[in-house]
Amino acid sequence: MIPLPLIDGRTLARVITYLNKHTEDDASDEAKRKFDEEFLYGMEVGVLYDAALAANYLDIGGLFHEVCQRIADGMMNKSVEWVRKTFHIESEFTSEEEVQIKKEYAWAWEGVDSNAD
Amino acid sequence: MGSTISSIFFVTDYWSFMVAVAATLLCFLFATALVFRKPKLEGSPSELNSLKPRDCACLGEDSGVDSGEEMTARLSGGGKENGVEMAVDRQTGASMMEQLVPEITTHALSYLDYPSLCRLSMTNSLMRKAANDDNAWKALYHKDFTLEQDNVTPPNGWKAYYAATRAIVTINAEFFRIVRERLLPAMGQLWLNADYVKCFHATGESFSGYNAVMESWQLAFSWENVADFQIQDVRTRVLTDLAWVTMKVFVDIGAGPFNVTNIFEFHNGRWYMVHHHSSALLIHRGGQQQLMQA
Repeated sequence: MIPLPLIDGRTLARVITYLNKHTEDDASDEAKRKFDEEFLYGMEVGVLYDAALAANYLDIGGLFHEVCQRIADGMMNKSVEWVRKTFHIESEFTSEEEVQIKKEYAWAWEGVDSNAD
Repeated sequence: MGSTISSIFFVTDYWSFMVAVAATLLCFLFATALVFRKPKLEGSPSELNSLKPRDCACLGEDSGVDSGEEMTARLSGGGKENGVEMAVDRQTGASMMEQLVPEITTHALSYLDYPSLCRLSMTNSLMRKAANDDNAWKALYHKDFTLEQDNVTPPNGWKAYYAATRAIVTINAEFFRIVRERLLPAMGQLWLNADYVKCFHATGESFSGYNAVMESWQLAFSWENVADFQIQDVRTRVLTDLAWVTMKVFVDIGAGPFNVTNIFEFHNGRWYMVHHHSSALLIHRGGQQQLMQA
């Protein structure tokens, strides 16, 4: 018995499902990719975080990469409000601060629709 | 006899029975929710069958099957046990990000492009700190521009360096757009009005001083045939007030790449071109190579 203090039961079960699929002898790369798609599809944010922590703690490169990519995909090309909502991020910025930060990053908004969702 | 009576009793009071069951379930849910209402890393705590100790490595029975249902409830803003679930989510949201080991955050951020990274930094102060991480911007620089300059330490950090590099790359592309579309006024705006600016065209001729350079462009723009070209291998080096860019220009007529160097200076809040140098077009004529004369 090896105690794993940082991972809870449900996340570990998911990790094991992932590992089982990926170490199958007869699973082609495409089958693995398809499995990853379905496996990670619709994972909500808390679960993704858990999976990332678990994959990092257990040093599982493939899963870690997939989960981080999934987290990044959730933020890519989305408006600030959407990112806040999806990742449950509370903002303590005042509106003046927000304007100031946006000015700081003005070059990043050239040609980009800031309210794209 | 007794059973018939009780079954009749059951049938006639069907609805009150259902009300009683519903009330019991509701109370039970409420109680469970109260018990599990603490900031935790896990997802929905209000499940009826998750009464096992949470911090052991034993496999949970409800492995991955409920995630889909949870997800729809989550994304639609709550679903069934609305107030309870949302409250727990908000508590765990920010603290979840904090509990992520920094290297995980950095790794996830490295998959983003620069507009998304900037937007993320606007979400809250914690994210701002994470998104301003120097290493994240350094990685993005290497991804978007070049792997060179790995040992360089930019004076204002990698984020500022990335921004400056992007500005130079944009203005360099703008220069070629002006050449392609033969916009003489725009070319006049781009160059610095000074006597030390220089331009070496692919014809082999050189011009010194703003007026001479502008005349040379006017002449170049009046040529009939201008082949289309592609720019590749753009490499930029940006210092505080000075930037130089090298690139290869491929022209359709297959004369081989021109090696071009552009130099920009920063004045009054914007970049101006001060130097353009293109390698000369070599024409093979009967085995001998000569520089093309204008």
